[in-house]
Amino acid sequence: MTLATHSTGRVSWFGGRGERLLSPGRYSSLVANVVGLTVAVIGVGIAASGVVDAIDGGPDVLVLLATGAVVWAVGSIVWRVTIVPKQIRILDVFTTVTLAWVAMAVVGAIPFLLTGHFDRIDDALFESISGFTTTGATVTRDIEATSQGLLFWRSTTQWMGGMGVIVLVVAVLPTVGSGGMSLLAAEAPGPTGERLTPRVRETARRLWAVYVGFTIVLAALYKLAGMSVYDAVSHSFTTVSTGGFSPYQDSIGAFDSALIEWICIVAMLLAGGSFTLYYRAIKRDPKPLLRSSEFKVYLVVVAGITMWAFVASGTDGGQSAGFRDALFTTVSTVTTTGYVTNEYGLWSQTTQLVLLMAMPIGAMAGSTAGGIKIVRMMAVASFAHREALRHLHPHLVRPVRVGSGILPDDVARRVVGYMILALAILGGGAVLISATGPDMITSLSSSATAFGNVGPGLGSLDHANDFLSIPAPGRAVAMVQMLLGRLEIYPVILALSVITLRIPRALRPRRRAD
Amino acid sequence: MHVVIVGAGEVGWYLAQRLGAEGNDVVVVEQNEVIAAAIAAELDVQVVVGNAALPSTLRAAGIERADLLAGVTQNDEVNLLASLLAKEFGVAQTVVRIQTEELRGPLGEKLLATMGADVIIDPDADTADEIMELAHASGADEVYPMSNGELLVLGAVIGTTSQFVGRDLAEIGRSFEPNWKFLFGAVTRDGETVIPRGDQVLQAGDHVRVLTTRAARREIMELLGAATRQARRVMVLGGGAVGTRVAERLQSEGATVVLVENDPARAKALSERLPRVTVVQGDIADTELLLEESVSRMDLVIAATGDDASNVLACAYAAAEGDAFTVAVLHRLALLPLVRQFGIDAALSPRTASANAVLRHIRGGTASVATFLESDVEVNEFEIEVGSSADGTLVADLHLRHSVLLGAVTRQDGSAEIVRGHTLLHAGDNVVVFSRPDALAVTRRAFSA
Repeated sequence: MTLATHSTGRVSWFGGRGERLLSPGRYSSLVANVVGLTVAVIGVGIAASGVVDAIDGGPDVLVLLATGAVVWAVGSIVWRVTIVPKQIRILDVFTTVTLAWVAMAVVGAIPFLLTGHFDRIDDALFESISGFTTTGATVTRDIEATSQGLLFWRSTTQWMGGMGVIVLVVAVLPTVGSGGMSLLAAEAPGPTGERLTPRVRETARRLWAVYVGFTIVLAALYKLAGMSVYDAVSHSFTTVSTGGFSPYQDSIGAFDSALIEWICIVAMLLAGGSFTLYYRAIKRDPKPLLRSSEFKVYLVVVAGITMWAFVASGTDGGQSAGFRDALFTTVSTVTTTGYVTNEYGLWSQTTQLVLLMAMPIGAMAGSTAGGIKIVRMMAVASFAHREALRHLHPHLVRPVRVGSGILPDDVARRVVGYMILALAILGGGAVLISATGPDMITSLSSSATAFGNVGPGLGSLDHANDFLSIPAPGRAVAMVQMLLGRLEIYPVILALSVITLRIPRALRPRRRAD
Repeated sequence: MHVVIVGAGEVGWYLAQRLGAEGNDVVVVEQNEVIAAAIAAELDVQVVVGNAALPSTLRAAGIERADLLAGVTQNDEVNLLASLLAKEFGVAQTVVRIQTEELRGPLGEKLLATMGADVIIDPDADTADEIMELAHASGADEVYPMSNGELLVLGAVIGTTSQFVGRDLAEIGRSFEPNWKFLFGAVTRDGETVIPRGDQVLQAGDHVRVLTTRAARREIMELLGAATRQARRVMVLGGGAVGTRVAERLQSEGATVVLVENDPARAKALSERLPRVTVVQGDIADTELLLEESVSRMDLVIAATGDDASNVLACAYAAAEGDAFTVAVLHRLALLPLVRQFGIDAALSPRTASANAVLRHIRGGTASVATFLESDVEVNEFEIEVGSSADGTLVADLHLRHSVLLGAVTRQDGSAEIVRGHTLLHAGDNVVVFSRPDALAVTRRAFSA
């Protein structure tokens, strides 16, 4: 946390009576302030899981409640002794988001260790990162032997990570002005952050309101379809966030209910769409959603892969898929949720390859899904088309388009840069994982499923979202890929460059006294 | 009629010339002294130097006596203000030139109605309309729609392969009995334009104006030996207001359009606005660029920049490199006679397009008017009023002057036909008449009560 105090301007005696008591010691630091609040929020989540365990009469009540309380207290203290600076630099934003996510991963791993669920730190971290990044891959050996409270914590990490803890923090923070939008943009999935309201805090609140509303409605539907309240809430958490954790080894398949699967399919499809557009549609402006070319392409991609799986899964010695299974698996993969209902590992090789290709792509920008996002694929296609046309018309002037919308050149360049990095991370990750032992298809799919925040893979990974077959060093690679995938690369890289630049400067003696 | 014309630019100048020739009292208000002196020297009009947005200037131009004010400066605000003031002074009709595209929408229309303007004109839009007519007319160098577009006046140069060469009009007429689909309204040879009679012999190279029904336009162009193929590949040079509109419309009709614009910022804006048009940045007079964009394989090349010389050059180059039909927009009328020598097929000017719209209004209501750049022959449309001498009369019995040619009649049900001597006219019919301006008043009398 030495980084946190880089700007050490003390805050003077502003504010009301309550604030004055604390003011003399408050440090102005965006990183510490946001990380503190993030940790405090996580503490609340852990404590809530303790309450769930208490209702169930489980063994982890005290551990979860105590951990939650301590984490909440530490986070709150850090939050209360710091204040958001008036001037926020863009590089601080990326550092803040990246460090907040690292803090989330670390703090989120604590309950897994203290309850004795894992005895290795890296396993606990893997579970925590897989949760917050809404990946849904697991290294838990026997899910059904785990206490309900801890499983609920697992689902809660996904629910928090889905809409983004930073978005939540911005919604709560009283004084995030100019830098707030860049905080949102740095965490939000997709190439552009869009304001719903003139005030960023309102935007963050509305996004969370839609998210919470969606969660409640879905939980009610699951309950009506026959789940217990606990199952309904847990699955609602991990469906809306496109996470994919389930308290059952057999995932959604454990219920063996067509109705539940249909509800789940529709909910996953919706969760893969843009929440910004949903908010507008709720506010009686459905045009942006209906006219969104990304939304159309998203639906076409889902329909196409479903038809492929339905028609081609039985060819070439594969096991033929029913329509519902084909649709469920496609939606689960494209939205990067990762629920499983059937043995898609038995489908024909080409069908599995199509699923593998869909894994890193993901769904719409502004959704809770991971991966590259449809909009970036469209932008890159338009970019490539333009460059091809330029051979015919050397002086061509043509914008990069996403549907009928125009992507400004700087955004387009960032997208192309992102794609190159994404391919490098996907390819490099697969090579590194494969070097630790797994076969080729397992390595490729674990790289794709980690970077795309999907969950299940192919080869020895199929069905169970189970990373246990990957050796520990390979899992470490996957952890980094999950974070890179969720934060969409740039914030992490920028934060790393900031940190490496700052360290030598911090070691130099200061000339000016503050 | 006392007419005040605000602005002696292209449109104002042409309008002053046309209205002056008809015997109206024309006063031109112009701010620029040099231009004011030039128009005073050239035309038989009174010129007032000053700002037309000031009541004092308008009073000096005799606005109290005026029947019509035409605000046709480049400046929308001045035009609107002049029109508002004119209405205050009791002027019956005002014509306002508006170039801002947004003001032409429904909201703008309402605003303009509130401001009392009777006619809104936009030279760029009118020019684009004319270019589109040319693009559709398969080889005509002028197209003027009459009677709501049922009838067309087509201008074309008779080709050497035409079966009309060496025959007189009476003979041609006989070979197309019983129903004529077309009629020769004016023939220009060596700079002389005549309204032809039956003994007129046609030669290759004659520039003729033919009145025809819209459906027969392709057939007549083939008979004249001037037909060209349909415009599937089009190059539009210049992304100004005219070029943009034309490119947009051709594109929506399914043509492949390449649009060349020199200004990088403008080119970028156009590429964003016209998603399916290939926008290329470069100088239209750069022959390398034109070759690069395969100018030789184009069906139609339209040069519509603000620079006449570039337009002529680019079209001449296109004509030399390939067999595209070439259209040049020219702002200086003096260049027009030269244009054909460069192999350019059609030239038009924003001023005539808009002036026709104004003339149409002055002559009353829905009737159409066409005027030609190189001659004083004009085409007018009149409605036959009840009780007029033409009502219930055969065309042959009308005894019109020799400088007047009654070309076609549009019945009340909208059907149009080319008139013959035995055609019976009724009140409510619209007639299209070729005439010289001095015969206009007499002609009008024949159709009004």
